[in-house]
Amino acid sequence: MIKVSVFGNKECDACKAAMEKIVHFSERWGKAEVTSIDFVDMETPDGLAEGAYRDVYDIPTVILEDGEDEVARWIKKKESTDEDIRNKGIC
Amino acid sequence: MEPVKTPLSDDGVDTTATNDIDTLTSNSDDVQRLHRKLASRMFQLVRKRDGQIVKFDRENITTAIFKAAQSVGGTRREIAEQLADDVVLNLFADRGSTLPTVEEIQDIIEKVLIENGHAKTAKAFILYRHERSKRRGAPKTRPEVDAATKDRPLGIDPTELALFVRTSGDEIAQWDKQKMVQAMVREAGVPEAIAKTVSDEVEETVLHSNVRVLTVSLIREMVNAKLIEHGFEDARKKHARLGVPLYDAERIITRRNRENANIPHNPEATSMTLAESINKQYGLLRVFSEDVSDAHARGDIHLHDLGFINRPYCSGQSLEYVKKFGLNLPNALSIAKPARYPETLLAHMVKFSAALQGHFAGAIGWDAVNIFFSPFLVGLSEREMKQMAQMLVFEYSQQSVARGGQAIFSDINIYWEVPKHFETVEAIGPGGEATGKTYSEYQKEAQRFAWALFDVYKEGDGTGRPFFFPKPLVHITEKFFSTPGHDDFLNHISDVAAEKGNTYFVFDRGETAKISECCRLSFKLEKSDLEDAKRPWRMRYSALQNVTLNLPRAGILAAGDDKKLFSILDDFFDLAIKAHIQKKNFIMSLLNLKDSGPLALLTMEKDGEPYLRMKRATYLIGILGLNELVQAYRGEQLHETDDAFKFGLKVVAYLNLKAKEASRKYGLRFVLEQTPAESAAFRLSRLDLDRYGKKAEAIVKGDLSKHKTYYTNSTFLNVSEPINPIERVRLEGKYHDLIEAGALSHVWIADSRPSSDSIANFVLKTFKHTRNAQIAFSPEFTSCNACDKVARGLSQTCPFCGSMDVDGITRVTGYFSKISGWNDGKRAELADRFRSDI
Repeated sequence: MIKVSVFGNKECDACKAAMEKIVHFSERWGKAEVTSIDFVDMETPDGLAEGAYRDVYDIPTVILEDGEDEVARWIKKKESTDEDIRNKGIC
Repeated sequence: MEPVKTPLSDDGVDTTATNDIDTLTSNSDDVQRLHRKLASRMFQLVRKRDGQIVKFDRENITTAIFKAAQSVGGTRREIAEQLADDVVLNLFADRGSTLPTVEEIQDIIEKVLIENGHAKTAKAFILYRHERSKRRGAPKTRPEVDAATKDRPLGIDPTELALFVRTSGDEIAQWDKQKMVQAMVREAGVPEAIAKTVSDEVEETVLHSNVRVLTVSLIREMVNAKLIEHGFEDARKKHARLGVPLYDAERIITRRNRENANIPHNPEATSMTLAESINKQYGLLRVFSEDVSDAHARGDIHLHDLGFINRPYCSGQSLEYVKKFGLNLPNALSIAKPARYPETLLAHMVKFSAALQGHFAGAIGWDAVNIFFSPFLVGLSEREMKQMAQMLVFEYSQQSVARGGQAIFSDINIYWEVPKHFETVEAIGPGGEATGKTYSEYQKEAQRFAWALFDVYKEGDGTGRPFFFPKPLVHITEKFFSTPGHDDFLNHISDVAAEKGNTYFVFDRGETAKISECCRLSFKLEKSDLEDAKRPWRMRYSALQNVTLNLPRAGILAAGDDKKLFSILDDFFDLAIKAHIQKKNFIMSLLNLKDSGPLALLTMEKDGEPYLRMKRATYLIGILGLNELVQAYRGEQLHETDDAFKFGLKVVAYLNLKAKEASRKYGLRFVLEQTPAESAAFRLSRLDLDRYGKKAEAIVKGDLSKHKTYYTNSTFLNVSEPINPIERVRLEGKYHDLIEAGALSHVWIADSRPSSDSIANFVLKTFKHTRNAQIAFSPEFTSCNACDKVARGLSQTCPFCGSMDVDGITRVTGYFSKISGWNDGKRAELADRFRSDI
């Protein structure tokens, strides 16, 4: 199971864009069934604590995990190309 | 010719009276009688001519009047009784309930008899009085009374006799109860009638006592007790007197202050402690509202530095201010133009620091000291550079002639590279003039000076002890690693960290820039600050106050109930915000006095803005004992389980968001800080033990049997746990991004002496693989006062000469100090610390 966590907040346009992009790519590559996507709101105590625990210090941050292992992390990048994502090992 | 009346008429009064019985009767309606009765009850005592105080008896007045009336033919005692009531009523109208004298009563009797038309009786009474007076030979006039009675025994009319008051102005003054009235009215707004009553009552008490010389403090307390009796509690508070018991004053004078390890023991220090005591009381009574003061006294929150209530908390600034404007301070006896030589600049910097120490409670931090010194250091030989470095360090570390004999809590921020925000800034050189170069062009001099400073730190003082101040804070930035020579410099400062422990490694990752100071405080530079960096003299930052939340108490009270826990945290937090606003308002009121106020220095406007830029002030919400909160709430300490650790993060995240919310609401910068908690960690643990008994016993750290307890500082993991140091730094670092006003992790290396490579490697790992904001390595030393040698590690005797006259030295919270000055809580923490060899 692939897990994608998008750390952001509700007011952040880049965070929304990151979320949409993740959904878009997971569908385009037919991985939607095996990918869980979470939005972690850093303006809630639980979200902020989760971010601190995972050393997230900026938004948006996208963390890609395969099982227990973190395989990729994007920090504050609004646009990611297909190549970027492939290079990080999702496909 | 006037009609001749029978003087001894049947009605008991002389018939020449213009008032007849009817008139008298008509005045004695129900209300009048009631008044008379009430008036009679007002007097319990009367002072006789010989000074004795005896029970007041209205019958004596009646008898005196009646006897006078009888002597001129009167026969009706009931008339005399009514007149006696009038006398009492008049007496009360004249004097209130003040203890009357026989003379005064007789004066009133004469007056009442005359006013009621009983002239003959009055005349008889006056004659009788005169005869008695002649026989006694008693004085009648006030001066005569004073002269005759000044050496009389106690218990006599204090206005006539020798009852003296020692005033707060060191003078002996004669008793004057009107002064009590004036004070109550002026200071506390007590209605004058009540003030008179209270002063009468106090006077009565005094007269019953055997005291001959009173102090104003005693009188004030007596007045306050009466104000409470009369239900004037608010007035009592306003009328309060601040001071310390004699016993406490003696202890302060003779014993060392252990609340702050940076306070020596000398007359200046004890004077400061005594003054702090008054300031504390003033703050709790007048600056903070009752609920805030009570919350502090109870231990829900801790108001830091109450002894310095009349000033902000700490200050961080740029040397550029001194370089550009010289030393031109309000109320100074002389003015210095901008320095032309490095030694002069150093002198200005140190003197300005001392002036600032008198205006801030805590640390005085200087930004990028080696960078801003650099234009003055061009062409200096190695020897001269070292000499400058030595002067700087010694000047600060030997400033025991400053406030309260206390060395200035000073910080110098140091960069190996010229940080990005200063790269293109035009340098200011000798005479306050621009040199025409940027600071990037002085990098070589800045680096040489930084190196020389650490040479000095490595050598230590004249006996090899580590310097306590100024604290050197080296910023490790992304640019640091791309600046030539950084490896060698890192090795050099790591060597100092291993040898003496002085180096603080401050991590500015990414675009972060900050000024660090105090035990761990930092002012993160925002966009507008980076704009200010183009004119660095504008970079002045202050924390106005620090208020710490007692987190363990919230954990105890919540008893496992999530909703309750966060509700209690809300309550504590709201109290802290309220305290901040009250302190800010107080400081503003002092600043508004401008030149004539006590904070004139902070209002000077050399660059168009006051020195203290209130718009850039921060308000610190301290956090203390997170480990014990989690332990009380979940039964596990932070390091014990992942869930406990995460719960700790949730608590801090919650407070972080609350600080942001409060900042938006009030337009002030509320930020979380790791509380230094030198005294608070001890104090709050004691208060919780007293209040919550076994529940607190289950979580406090230290030695319960010896009452040496403490709470774990801020968000630290339990200091006694044998956790690998890099793991501790990594875990503690996860909290640091949530604590915007600064955080630190300690590595207690004690008597081990790691290599500089090990330290450098540790620093690199911390920078690259953790979120930790700052680390410091703390060795321990034994300094011998007999042979002046210094040994590694703590021991009871000198390993060189065997003397027991030794000082233990290590880091208390965020700075080095002698252990002999530590409080019991910190000593207990020292005993518990897990020492590691990295």
